[in-house]
Amino acid sequence: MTITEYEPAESVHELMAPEVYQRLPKNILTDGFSSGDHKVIGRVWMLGAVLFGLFTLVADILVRLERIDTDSVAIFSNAFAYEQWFTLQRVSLVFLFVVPMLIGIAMTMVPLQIGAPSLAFPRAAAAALWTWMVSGVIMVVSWAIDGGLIDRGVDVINQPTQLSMVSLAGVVLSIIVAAMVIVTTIFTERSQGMSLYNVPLFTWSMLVAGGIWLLSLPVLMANLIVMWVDARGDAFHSFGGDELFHQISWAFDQPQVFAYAIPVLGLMGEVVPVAFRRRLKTYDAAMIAIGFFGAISFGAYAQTFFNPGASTSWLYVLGAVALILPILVLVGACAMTAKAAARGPQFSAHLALAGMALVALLTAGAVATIRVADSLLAPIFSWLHDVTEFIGLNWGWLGDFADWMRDSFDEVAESSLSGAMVQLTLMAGLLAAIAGLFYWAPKILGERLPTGLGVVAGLTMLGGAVISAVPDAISGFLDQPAFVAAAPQRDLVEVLNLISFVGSLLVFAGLGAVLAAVAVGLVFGTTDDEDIDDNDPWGGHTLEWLTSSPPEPGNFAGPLVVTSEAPLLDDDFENPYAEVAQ
Amino acid sequence: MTDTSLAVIDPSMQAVSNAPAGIVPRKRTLQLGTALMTGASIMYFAGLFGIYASTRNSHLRLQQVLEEAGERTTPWIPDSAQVELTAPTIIWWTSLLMSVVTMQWVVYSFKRNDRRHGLLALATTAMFGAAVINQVVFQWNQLGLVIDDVSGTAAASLIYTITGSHVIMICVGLVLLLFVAIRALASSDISVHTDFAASAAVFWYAMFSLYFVIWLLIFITK
Repeated sequence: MTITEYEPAESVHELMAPEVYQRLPKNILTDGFSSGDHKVIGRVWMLGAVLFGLFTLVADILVRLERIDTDSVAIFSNAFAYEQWFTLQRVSLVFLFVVPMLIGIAMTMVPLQIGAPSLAFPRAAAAALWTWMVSGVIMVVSWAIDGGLIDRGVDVINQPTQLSMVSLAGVVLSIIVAAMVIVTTIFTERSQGMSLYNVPLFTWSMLVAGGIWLLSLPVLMANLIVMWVDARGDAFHSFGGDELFHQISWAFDQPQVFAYAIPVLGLMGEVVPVAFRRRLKTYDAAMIAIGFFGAISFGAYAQTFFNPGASTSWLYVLGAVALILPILVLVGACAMTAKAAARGPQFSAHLALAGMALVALLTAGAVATIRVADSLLAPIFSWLHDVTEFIGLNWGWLGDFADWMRDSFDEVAESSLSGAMVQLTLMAGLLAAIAGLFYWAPKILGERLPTGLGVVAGLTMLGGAVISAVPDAISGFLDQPAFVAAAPQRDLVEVLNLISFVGSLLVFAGLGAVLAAVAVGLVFGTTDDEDIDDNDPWGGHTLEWLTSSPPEPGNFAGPLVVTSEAPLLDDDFENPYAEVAQ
Repeated sequence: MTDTSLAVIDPSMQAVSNAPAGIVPRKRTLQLGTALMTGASIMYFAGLFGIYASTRNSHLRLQQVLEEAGERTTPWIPDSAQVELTAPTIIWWTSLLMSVVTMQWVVYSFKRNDRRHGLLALATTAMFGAAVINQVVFQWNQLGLVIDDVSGTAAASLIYTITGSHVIMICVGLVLLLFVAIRALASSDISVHTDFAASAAVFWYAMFSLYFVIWLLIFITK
């Protein structure tokens, strides 16, 4: 148990003694792989996520290419192979790409934001990283050798499938440990004066996200372990065979999928005030909104495999509708900040990317609401029908309409409409992670990244996500199932699938633009503009902008004392660097 | 910061000398981390309990429908299985209960730097843990539950998953105790490791509490 290896320090002076940090690695290629430095660990999380992400997006392209021709299976060898790639794409998009990217950003930036020299349990963080990476590789390989959690329609569970279950459990376990490290760091390592009420919003959003992941992902592990034990038995499989993916599908569906996009709100609340050079208005409301968003995104209860009625429960329905509210609260807070500033924002790639992430999340929230529209509206129409009957009006069409809603939307909920919602939500999370990468590039990479390429990447990815998701949403109403490669031929569905395929190509191109921006930033470096302080190029409000770019081991030269959520704007803030810099 | 950081650090971070006294590290980092992982473990078991309850209810509903139709049914727990409140089950329960007391003895002794009693309490707690594992393995041999295609019920898969997961939790607890013991053996003042012992205790108590639910769910209500 690496988490037990932490020796409580007697004081922060012992924690921050410079000789401690002489032992920390400075180069990822030499001793970085055994590093306990949170910045190295965070960078490796991000690097691994990008590599897995490239693979995931290629899988997405192949899946969408296959669906262009709904009459037959052409790209893959058979329908099962298509489902294997479909489910692999869905699983890896969440657990090998988007969530690890956010964890990487958080592991790097959360200690800096709260003025801490390190993570709470650096070795546990490193253990989580390597467990995730090894398990992720095994998981992909197991899927490739005829494994994967797919619905085969038979009760035979081969060994690669069992390997898929165990390796996915390993991936999930490592994310749980990473979440524990982040949450513990936020609770215990904050600077003096930094209460939970005035932590930076990104850190707050990671606290909420980490908490929800800690509560929900162990339930996913329980699903996987039950399936695995069942599969180890002889012949009879109560938890497998024909519905393997169905058992864990709640983790990739509404509302749980929104738990992977919680940091979108935190990042928006982080970059907008900086762009307007003002404190965020109604900071408390923004914090409550993020907490509320996290609470309603807890989805471990909505397991339709065990409880088919879960998707019509009041919690599920109201949760889907209420998802929009916290997003709007945050948009309102940003708008009030902009109004108070009475001037235009300082334009940057991260601002544009954060805005795009919010657009993607809002769109996903709208689709989520459409999915539950029947559960919300059908009872109302039924009630109106009863009322009209009671007062003697013969409005039978109201009852017919309610019945039509129930029937048709039940089918839509299981169609590719769900895929559209998932795609948009995860793309929002990814855009937020990329916005974070551009915003904190001086701290993460030591260089600013080119704004133009960032905006192009964001527009390409958002455009691609919308172009691939909207046709999926429409074809969902035309009865296209989410999983099936070959379906009764419909010309319009095929056209929509073609558009969707083009969208997935754009998303891939967008990620390519991000990588190009990173390459340009690292190779050519930051432009030598004397007006821009490389340590704080955006005029940030939070503690990470006090350190050098990239930060030295130990992050801060001394303990910091803060009194508000934007300490660098406080008149009474004692900047430990100001005196020496003179 | 590169050229300024070391100058600031020494002597005693003069640049912040006007600020209030340095950061007082928030205590109980290890306990909080352990509590969070323990909470995650509880959610894992909550997931298992939920699957058990819903699967059993589905089975019983189906059984009722089949019985009303006059068709042959299979019970949730197969007739050949022995999921009863036998002596090993009770000893399993009482061993864990006693280990909770000795675990508190560990924390008490560490807090008072009583090395001798601390180590004795650790060894006793570990012995109870090992005894429980022995009881569980014995119980598995007595259950007569097999994951097969004959019984037509998911009870075997679920009971083995739940009890097996609990055994793994006990093993993790024993590893924690081992680390606590190593720290105690290597230290002249074991009271500095009270935080560590208390963290192990948090995990141990959660493990015991979960067994109580398992006992109710599997051996009482079945």
